Amino acid sequence: MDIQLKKHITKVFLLNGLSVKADAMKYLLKILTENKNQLTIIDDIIKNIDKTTLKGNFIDQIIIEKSIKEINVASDSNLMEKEIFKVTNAFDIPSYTYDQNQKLFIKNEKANKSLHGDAKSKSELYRKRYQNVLQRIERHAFFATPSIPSQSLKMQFNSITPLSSLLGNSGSKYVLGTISQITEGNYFLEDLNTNVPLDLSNAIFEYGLITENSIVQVYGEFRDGAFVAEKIELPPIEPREISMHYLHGIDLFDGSNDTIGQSSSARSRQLREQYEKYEKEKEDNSILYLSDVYLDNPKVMEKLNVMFMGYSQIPPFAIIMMGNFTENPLLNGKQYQLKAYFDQLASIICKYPLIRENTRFVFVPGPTDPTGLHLNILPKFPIPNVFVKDFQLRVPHSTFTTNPCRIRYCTQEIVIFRDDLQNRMRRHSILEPSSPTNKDSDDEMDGQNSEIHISQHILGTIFSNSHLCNLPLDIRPVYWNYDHTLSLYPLPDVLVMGDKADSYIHQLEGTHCVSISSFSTNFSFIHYTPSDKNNNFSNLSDVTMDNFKDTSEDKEMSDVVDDKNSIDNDNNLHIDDNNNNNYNNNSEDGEDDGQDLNSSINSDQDDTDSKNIKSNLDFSLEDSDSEDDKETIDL
Amino acid sequence: MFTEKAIEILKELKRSETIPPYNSTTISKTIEEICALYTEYYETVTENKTLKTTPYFLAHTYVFHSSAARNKRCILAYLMERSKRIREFRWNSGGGLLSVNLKENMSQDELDYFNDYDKLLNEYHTNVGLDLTIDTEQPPKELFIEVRVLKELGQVVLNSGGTVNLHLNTTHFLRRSDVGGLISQGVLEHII
Repeated sequence: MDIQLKKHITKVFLLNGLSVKADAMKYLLKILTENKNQLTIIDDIIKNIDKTTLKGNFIDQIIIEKSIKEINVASDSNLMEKEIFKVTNAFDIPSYTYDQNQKLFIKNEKANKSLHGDAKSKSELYRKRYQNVLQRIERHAFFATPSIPSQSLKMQFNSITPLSSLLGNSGSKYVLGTISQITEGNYFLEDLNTNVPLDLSNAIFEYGLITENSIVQVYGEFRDGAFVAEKIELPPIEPREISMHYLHGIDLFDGSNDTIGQSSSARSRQLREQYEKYEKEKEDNSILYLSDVYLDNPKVMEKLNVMFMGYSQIPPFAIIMMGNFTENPLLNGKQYQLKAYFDQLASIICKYPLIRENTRFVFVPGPTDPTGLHLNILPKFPIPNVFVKDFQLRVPHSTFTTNPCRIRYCTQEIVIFRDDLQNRMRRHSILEPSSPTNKDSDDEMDGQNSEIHISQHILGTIFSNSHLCNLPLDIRPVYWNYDHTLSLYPLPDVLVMGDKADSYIHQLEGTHCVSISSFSTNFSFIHYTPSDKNNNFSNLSDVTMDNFKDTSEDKEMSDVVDDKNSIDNDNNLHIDDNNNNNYNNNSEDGEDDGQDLNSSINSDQDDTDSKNIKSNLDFSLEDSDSEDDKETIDL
Repeated sequence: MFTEKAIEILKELKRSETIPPYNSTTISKTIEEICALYTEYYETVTENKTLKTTPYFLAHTYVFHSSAARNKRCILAYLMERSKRIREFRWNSGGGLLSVNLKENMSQDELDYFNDYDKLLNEYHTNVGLDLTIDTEQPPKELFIEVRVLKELGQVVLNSGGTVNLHLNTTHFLRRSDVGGLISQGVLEHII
């Protein structure tokens, strides 16, 4: 009997071109004796083995276990929920190099993983940033080559000229280069091979925030040993779909399905369909983004409590909290206070069992959070285990990750980055954009009539550079070997920035970009519903425990919340009495809706903070409602 | 000259015995060329309606048309030859596994084609109960053969149900039907 069974198993595998190892055979026999319907199981297992991922024709126990696990996942929706939300630590993102000959990204299997990169790592960093942009714009329609010779007579064709072939090559050309300051006060343009001095005196520049290190496309002529720029532009941005098409199934995002071809094999296709279905079905699933959550501030804790309360019956799918987690940096041994703050947060969360059970928490450190080093080098390490061990025990679905980090929800790719980019890029910007619609003189460039909001300049710059933070290394230090983690190629579905300056929601080339200013100054956060890719600002500044109402426009949700609210009012009254006045005084109305988009490029750095509080309360709550509620309490 | 690029990819394919990297850039350029040729053709015909029967314009349009057709034929030939080599690989490799090199050389659609073809063949083999890809070249002469192990495998269960320790560089005297597949995969070597 046994030998017959063995013969049968090996034959089935052999006919699929596979051989069975002894340990796998033992395991299979064990499974078969446990189950009665023997032969179908083997067929299922074989169908589930993804041949494109195998390294050889030999099947061992691990592969069979994996296959069985996948069968279970497919049939069990609970297990699938675990799989659909994946947070990738920046240090786990694999690095890829672009191969100029094959026109493909190749995985660096032997990448140098050291934090202290050698000289080669540093030059590689610049080359990779440049190459990412170059490969992308070479195939852009603007730089297309004529396909038949007679076309060049009719139409204008442009091409990128390498810097090394500029000498003795007269006429105006397009070049692509990185701006750098090799000698003090003089800007140069660099590409992979050489550099040329850049004369910016007559350059027209319309859009973007150009700093040193920015990769720009310059139109001009090489004259007397310098490249005289006529026009400086950001390289064209490539929408996500086109990048994905040219990537041929290589996964630059987190490398989870990086074997080429696997992404479209039957199994992955099936999985993808499942994900898509799940994404569409679960319309109530929401992700909340918060930035600058000062856990040491009692007001902030109170507002968090309000927020959790609002969501207590309809727990969000995930809450992403970005640092800083303390108002002032914790230095000189005070770091251990952070543990107490997180414990406090845990006790608030534990008050709402539904949230504790169903919501995933992701914590991204801010610039001053104590994560090993005081230096703010990107990617920033997660908050150390020693501070959050207890927190994780009490809130099981919590992840502490790096800044930046990448999250995959079903089919969507989300990049989270906490940095005060706007401030930093404005301070180091070397050219001011002249608005194309601006009729006034250059001196009044900061006037109110500028059409493009500063945030659009920033997004345009980082998107066209395919890099979250393409600033000089002395301004924004980066671990050289981990620079690829800041890459924005291909563009993600959603980019979430924690920037203390104005909040905004934009959609650029199919990517949804949101920026959240601090939760701690205006108590606003973002409510994201992945099923329809809708971002909403929510604001808690007028809301206290008694009179909150859910800000999302889902009626059902707010009804549920109201019911819950009336029950819980009694318990929380004592908190309200203390805090009502404070918060209502604190709040400022969002009268300047839209000022956000139209406000000018303000070169004065300092008042961004004060402006913060005023703008962007687009979705703030109706005042009348909250006042009514308040009166009832006062009675 | 028109159709230069299309001929280039065919030459590239002819030069190599196996499956060379899929040349997607040249193919998309050739397709662009077809489109450009078509616009030229269309313009010539529409702009010179009254003159289109004169030999000068006839020749003009004929060149554009036949170049476009030639481009198309070249691309089709390229794809056809590649799919033929892919099928051949499946028959000769003894198992539906692609090496990393080959995977990188194939386009997404070719990979799908290979996987689906592999599935079809496996299904057929299971229904027939016989692996047709083994011993296609010449009929076997002996029942048992001596083989040397070229890759460390550990314990493997053979068709006949027995377990063999296939360690690197050891030789074994085994049933031919048990190890035929392993030989064509290149993990065992037949000692003659």
